[in-house]
Amino acid sequence: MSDVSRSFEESLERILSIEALLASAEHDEPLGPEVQRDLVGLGWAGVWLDETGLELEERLELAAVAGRRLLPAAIRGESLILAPLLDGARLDALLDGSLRGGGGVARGDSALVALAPGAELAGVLGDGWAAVIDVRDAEPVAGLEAGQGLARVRVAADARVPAPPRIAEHIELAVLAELYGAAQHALAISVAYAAEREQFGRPIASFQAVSHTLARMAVDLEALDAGIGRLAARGEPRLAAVLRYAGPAAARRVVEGAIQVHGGMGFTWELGLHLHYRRVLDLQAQLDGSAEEVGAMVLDG
Amino acid sequence: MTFPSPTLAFGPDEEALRARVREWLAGHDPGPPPEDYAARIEAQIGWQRALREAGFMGLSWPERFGGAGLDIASEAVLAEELAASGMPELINRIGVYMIGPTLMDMGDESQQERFLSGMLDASELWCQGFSEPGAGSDLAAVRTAGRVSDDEVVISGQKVWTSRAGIARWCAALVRTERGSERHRGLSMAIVDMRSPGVTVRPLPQMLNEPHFNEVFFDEVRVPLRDVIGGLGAGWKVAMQMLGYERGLFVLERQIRLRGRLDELAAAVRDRADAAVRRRIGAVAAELDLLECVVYRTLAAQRAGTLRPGATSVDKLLLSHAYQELFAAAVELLGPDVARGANGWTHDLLESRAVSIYGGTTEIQHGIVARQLLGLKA
Repeated sequence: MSDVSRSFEESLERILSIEALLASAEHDEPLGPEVQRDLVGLGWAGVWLDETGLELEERLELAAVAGRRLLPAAIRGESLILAPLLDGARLDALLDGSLRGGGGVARGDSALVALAPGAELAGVLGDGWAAVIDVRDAEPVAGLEAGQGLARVRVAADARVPAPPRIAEHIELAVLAELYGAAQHALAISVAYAAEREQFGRPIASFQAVSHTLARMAVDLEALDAGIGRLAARGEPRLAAVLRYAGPAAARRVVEGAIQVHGGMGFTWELGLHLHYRRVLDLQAQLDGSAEEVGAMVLDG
Repeated sequence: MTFPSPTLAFGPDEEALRARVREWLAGHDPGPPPEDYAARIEAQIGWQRALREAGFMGLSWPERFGGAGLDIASEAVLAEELAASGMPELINRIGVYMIGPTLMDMGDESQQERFLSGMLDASELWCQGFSEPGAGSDLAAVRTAGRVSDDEVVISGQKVWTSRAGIARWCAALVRTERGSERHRGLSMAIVDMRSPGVTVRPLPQMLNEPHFNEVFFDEVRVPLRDVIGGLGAGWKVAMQMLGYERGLFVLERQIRLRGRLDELAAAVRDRADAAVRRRIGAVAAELDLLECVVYRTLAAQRAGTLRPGATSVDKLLLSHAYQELFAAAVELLGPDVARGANGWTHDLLESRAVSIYGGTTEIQHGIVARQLLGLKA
């Protein structure tokens, strides 16, 4: 892991306590002002800006950190979509936190966007177009990922500009990396739990039924890593379609396996695995891939 | 471990090699392999000899062992191009990809001198004597005995599932040379001349009644001590080293061939591809594409020397699943006439059941992943 992502990870571990995340989800309210201030202070909004000068691999490593630590979805939107669409004073304001925002990907002319508290602007990416829109009056939507500030917005045709180059690819890769991070966390805590939790007088990891479940989770995670690495290097449209479909499915199986391995604890509110599960389900829906899309590409090839 | 893992990338040298291989292949089409078993073996030996003469065998072997001194990326290029040729896999792949590299690592100079060159031109075929009736998944239960007397090992026992034993000149056999030893201790890797008195090979037809593998009986077979790899007692270490080479290029080759079969299947169902067909084809294609990603990750790690112990079990598990799904999908999508007939599709469906068994079953692979990748004490 690079120094940059290690330092981000340590900061997030400190800022985003499980208690704070659970309270935010419980009341469907954003994380409190102090947490928000600390999050803005990380400078995450600038991660995907060209001038920040990070390599793609470093950015993806950070996206994986976001998945492990459940970085608020609004910051994903700010950094991946909104920041690249802003310049001058508005960009400076976003980076210093005096302007908050969010973002999301459109289906047709409407989009579900995740908004930070007090958000004024959101970046929306459509099919070949992008838009910065005023979200001060956006209509809130109750989301599966409670506390993420979900809202529905419409983008008028005259607000659209051509999408910046590569932004759609970056979003896909970042979402896949975030899925990887969420699944990686779920597997890591499951391995630790299975080695420690005893039933029938021995650690449950010593039962093959459990250790092979963990092994299957590891295989899914390894395949997702390899897929992201190859897509990042080559960017082939078919592989992108494969990963939109199979990537989230793999991450989802890992988190579902984690819930299973934790037994009753896995199903509790307090353990918080449901937060990673909600994140993975939300990202799966965002990528919206399908075996049918892949099949059509094979059959038309 | 870094994320995301790097994939194998080819440079100008590898692309130049690819062009050379393609040009050569275009002028040396081996045609379809003969139906008759003996004729097919002959054709495969001739094919590998021709590849050797053209300079394409042993690309990653050091020059002092008769190789080209390149790295594994060049072997990957060759494997990609050969898999597209329609010729079956290299007849002596066990020698070229597994036993040869192990001899370079752990053999002595005399062994390297005597055995390596015959591997490359297929003048001496190799087989691998590991499994026994009582030692399948549990390889450390090997019981075949090697009695050490003076400068010889005298071997008695039985091996099973031995591919190419009937045509191989040499067998790398795992034998217990220390009487009364248990498990991984007291084993040695002996190179048995399959023409020696006391060697009996009996074909063991598989599910398709094809003679791919054999039972091998050793009755007081004498092997000179100098033909023990790594010396007496190093057998387990040598065996593990050898099995470590049994991935990477092997899986790459398989994966490319399966991709070709998927394209055939797609062509056959293209004109009636409704949503259900598209979904099924897409699901199989996604598995194969992810397998490809994993294989190229493994090759990149092999090249960089960063391959984690146990990581290639992931390749094996994904290969097994994708392989079996592909042919299951094929017979379902192609309809009852194909499903009920004796044809390439039904042949390959039956054959696909072997992949989750040989080279370590799916259950064994899951155990390896749990222990070696996850660090569980299972």
